[in-house]
Amino acid sequence: MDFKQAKRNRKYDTWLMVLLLLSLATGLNFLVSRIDSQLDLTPGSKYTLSRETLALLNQMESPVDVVITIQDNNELPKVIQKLLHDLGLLLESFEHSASAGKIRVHRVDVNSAKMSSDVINRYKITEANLVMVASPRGDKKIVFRHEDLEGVNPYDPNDSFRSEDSLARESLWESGLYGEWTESTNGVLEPKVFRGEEVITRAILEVAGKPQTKRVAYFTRGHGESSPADVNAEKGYSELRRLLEDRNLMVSDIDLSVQESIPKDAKLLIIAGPKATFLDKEVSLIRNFINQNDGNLLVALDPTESLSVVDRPAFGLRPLFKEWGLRCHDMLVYDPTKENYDFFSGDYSLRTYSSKNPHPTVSMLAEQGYSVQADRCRPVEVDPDHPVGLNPVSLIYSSSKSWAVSGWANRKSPPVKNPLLDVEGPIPIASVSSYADEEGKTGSLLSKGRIAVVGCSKIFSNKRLKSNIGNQFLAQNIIYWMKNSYGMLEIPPKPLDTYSVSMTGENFDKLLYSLSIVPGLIALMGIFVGWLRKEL
Amino acid sequence: MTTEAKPLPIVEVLDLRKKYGAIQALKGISFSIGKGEIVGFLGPNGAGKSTTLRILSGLIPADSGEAKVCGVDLAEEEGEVRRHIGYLAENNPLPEDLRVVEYLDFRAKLKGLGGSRKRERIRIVLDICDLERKVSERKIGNLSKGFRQRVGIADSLLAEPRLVILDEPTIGLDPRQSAITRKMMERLRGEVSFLLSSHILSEVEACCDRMIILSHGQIVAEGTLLDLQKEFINSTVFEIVAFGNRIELQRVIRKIDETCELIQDDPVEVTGKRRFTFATEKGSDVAESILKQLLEVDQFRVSEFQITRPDLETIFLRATKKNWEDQDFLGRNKKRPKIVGEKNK
Amino acid sequence: MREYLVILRAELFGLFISPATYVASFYFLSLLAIGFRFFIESFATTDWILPPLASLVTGLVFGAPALIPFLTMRSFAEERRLGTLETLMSAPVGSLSLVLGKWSASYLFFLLICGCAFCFPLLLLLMFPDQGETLGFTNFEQWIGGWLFLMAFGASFSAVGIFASSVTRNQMVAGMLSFTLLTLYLAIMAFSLGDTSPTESIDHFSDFWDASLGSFGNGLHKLQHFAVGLIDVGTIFHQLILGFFFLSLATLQIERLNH
Repeated sequence: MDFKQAKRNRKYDTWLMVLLLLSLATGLNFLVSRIDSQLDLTPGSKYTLSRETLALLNQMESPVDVVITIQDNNELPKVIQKLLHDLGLLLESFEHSASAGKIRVHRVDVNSAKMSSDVINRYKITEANLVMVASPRGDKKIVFRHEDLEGVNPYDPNDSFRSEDSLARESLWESGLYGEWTESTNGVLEPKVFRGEEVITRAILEVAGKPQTKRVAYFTRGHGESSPADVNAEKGYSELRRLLEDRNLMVSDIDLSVQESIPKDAKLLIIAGPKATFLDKEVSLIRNFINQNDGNLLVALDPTESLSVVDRPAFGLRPLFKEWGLRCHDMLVYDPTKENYDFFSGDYSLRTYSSKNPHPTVSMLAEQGYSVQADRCRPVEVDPDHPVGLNPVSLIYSSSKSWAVSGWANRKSPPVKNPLLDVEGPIPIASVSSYADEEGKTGSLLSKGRIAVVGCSKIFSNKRLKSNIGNQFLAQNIIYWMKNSYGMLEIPPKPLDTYSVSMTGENFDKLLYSLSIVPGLIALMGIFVGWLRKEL
Repeated sequence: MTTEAKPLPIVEVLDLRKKYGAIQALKGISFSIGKGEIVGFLGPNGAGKSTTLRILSGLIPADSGEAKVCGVDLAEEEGEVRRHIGYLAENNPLPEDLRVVEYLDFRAKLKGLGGSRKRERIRIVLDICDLERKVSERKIGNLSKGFRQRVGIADSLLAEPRLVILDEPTIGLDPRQSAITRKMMERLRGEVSFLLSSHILSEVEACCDRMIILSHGQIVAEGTLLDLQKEFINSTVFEIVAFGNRIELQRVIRKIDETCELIQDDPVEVTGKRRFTFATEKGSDVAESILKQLLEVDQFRVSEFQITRPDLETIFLRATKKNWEDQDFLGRNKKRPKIVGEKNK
Repeated sequence: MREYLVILRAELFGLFISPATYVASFYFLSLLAIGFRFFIESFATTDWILPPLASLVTGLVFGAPALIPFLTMRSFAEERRLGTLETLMSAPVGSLSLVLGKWSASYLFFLLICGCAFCFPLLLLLMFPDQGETLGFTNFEQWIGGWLFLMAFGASFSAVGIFASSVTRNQMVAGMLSFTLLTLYLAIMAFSLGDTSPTESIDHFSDFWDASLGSFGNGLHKLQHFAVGLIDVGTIFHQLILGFFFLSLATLQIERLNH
């Protein structure tokens, strides 16, 4: 062969090869990125979704977007970084799960100048430091919200100042993503297990499971109730609205007096501190709603001074409460001692006082001994003669030294206890009732409706929901309990690895000496080889 | 320019061309080498010797032309040829920090030798190249130039190649060391074909069967020493040792013989005498008459006169001079034939 | 194959007798040992959330731009400068086996140094078994994960080093070039850490682009997976592809040299 010919072939070769290689590498990269297979070497496959989860994920009916607006940087508290790490691994296994492509994780920066991400626009996300599960059909649920210290004035006595780390731990604890918090060696509560799989699965099912027709929480109006649109700290309910919306409920209001029936999409009816009496028509609408439509009712009542309503106690709701095994006397809870009043805000603390078999709505309160801050309260008791099948439970109580004053508007101050009329403490301030048993199995019950009555509307006011974790838990868990969409999921939590070291300085020095063996050996070997190679 | 046909040529080259950028390094050379031949490549620096050798050893491809080495078509499979040849690169680069035996062992394995055959071959090449044990245990970096050259040659002989290509094997060696190299080639004469390049003429003259003289990428002369002498025998070469300048001398000589040509002009000693070498095509009679004529001119003070047979040096100079005068530096045909010819000397 | 093995052995031998290798590995391991000791002392109070063993892997990966050039820069640059590459090529050796042989040698040496570094936690575990346990050094999967991560990245890193060495005659330039390329690679991976975009479905061109870039986007992010014993097959393949790409470029370059 002539070189000329061979050369011509080769000349093309080099450049063609470079081009080919580049496209080959790109193509292969692309193909490989499709593989997405992970080998889980951990004992018990810690980072693989459990079979229960996979089975539950099959119930998904629409794709899901998990949006994380927490910006991962080193300024975040360590626990949040740990959460991002754990959550990241977990979400990836969700992404890689059987229903691939249906779950997508987005990490977005809402504060970034380039607001190009269509996820932000689609779900109208404006808040940073969120973990949210949302589906394109409009449902969304906040799984985790981390409040940073921004905007908190450490010198404001109304804002109890806490470190960023403790705030982060609180929001983590609240989210239920971690469990079995136990005190570690340095006195900080550290979680032992990660429940992320359960929490995320539940959220996914809620936003992308069977579409829920009932997904609106209606606030009644027309009786001087607090409004969900009110941002007033003392009596506004916008915080509660946010809690509801975080849990995939839409919030609206309704004037029962002009309605023929309660709308079909109502999941929850909220009566927030009425000042006027409900008409019979309105009460029968409500009754219908809970009894026939499996509705849920949350009532927050304040003690009333007005005598005109004495003929219709509890704002005309008394018969309804009675049907559900609850009693709500027009009394005022009075505590002669000072110890249960907050020194700064003057709020009165309510507690569960017992942690034996707590109702699911207060189990977290009981566990941690948190108190619920309230203003003036009225008793909400369980009727000892409640209808059979009902399961009314009192949740939180005033102190044992307190007592309920009847006809309190006419009593002199300070009141003197009248053993005939007044009731001895502890007085239950909040109670719930339902036909369901504790596991949430409703079976062939009269109604799936649930009712919760709280004897102080200020418990859910903006100020207290924002600043007091006990109030938050109470509100949150009552909402959970009422939604009761996917009972308890039997997804086992994953144990967390924690690493610690407790060595003395002496030991560290010893370690360093022993570590230096390795480079020392290398140096010795180098010298030896150098000697071997020396010319004689 | 082909030589007598050998039965099985080891190397066959036809119209080989190579260009480095603007410089035409090879302008179509053709030759062939038979089995067992020792062929010397002669030529001034930049004549294209190394280029040709590198092409033949499969290191670089040519631009056009054909080449076959040991039956392997170089254009088709350049890598294949490396199995059949031994190659000593110009300047003989070697890894400094290996010992001689380690290096040879590595090279032997690289060339596919193994086991007892490898040990045997290493022993043999060490013996051929006169590298005794004391030397073979030393690091290459600490060896003198002569020993390194021998290590390189030993390496090229390792795999019993049919053709050994040596690029400037004796450059920078003292006469004793080059004598050893020559002796080594003498020992292998007949078994292995050698193709070596050099501009040390005496060496090529001493050991090569045949030589190819390259200049400016072209073959200007080719053949055995005898062939070349024959080719150049029709000219009588004579040397004159005399005073005086070249131009004057040449003017006088040209009066007698138009064809007489100055080949070389060397200073003889400090006295200012010079040795002029002339070639004429008109035989020794004319030379004698030239002598007579020169003796008459006092200024020359001729002290020596000798008629010689042309040696390789003369042939080389004549052959390359002619070529030099035709070329400029870039190898193109020259338009103004002067300075370059001067420069050659 | 035979040529490859011969080259590999010769290269390993070359590295083995070269003082530069010992000096580089001595300093590297010394620094790493000191770093390891102080890390162990202080990791609880820092923001470190990965298993402590991953610190070593991180140290090795981020130290690689300093270490790899020492192992690779000589390979082709020095041979080209001395001219021994021509001698080497005059033997029946393909450029591919040459490149592969040299790459394997430096890769193996890199792994050897990594292995030496892995002796640190092993020593700790042997000396203070209780501490080793609370530090998670008994979790076998973390060792495997970290080792595989280093193997994957070491392969591509040493390929980059070999490529850098093949493009120049000056080994200093080769060293600087591979240092620059590797640092750049790590920087790109570190910058895109955190905003990993999903690659499950391809909606946009940018998604396709991200997928095609392989580990450029999420290579370091995957360290979190490997560190806890979760082997991401994709990352290993991405690194192998990157290594293959640079080795091919080096082979082409070596072939081009002779023409």
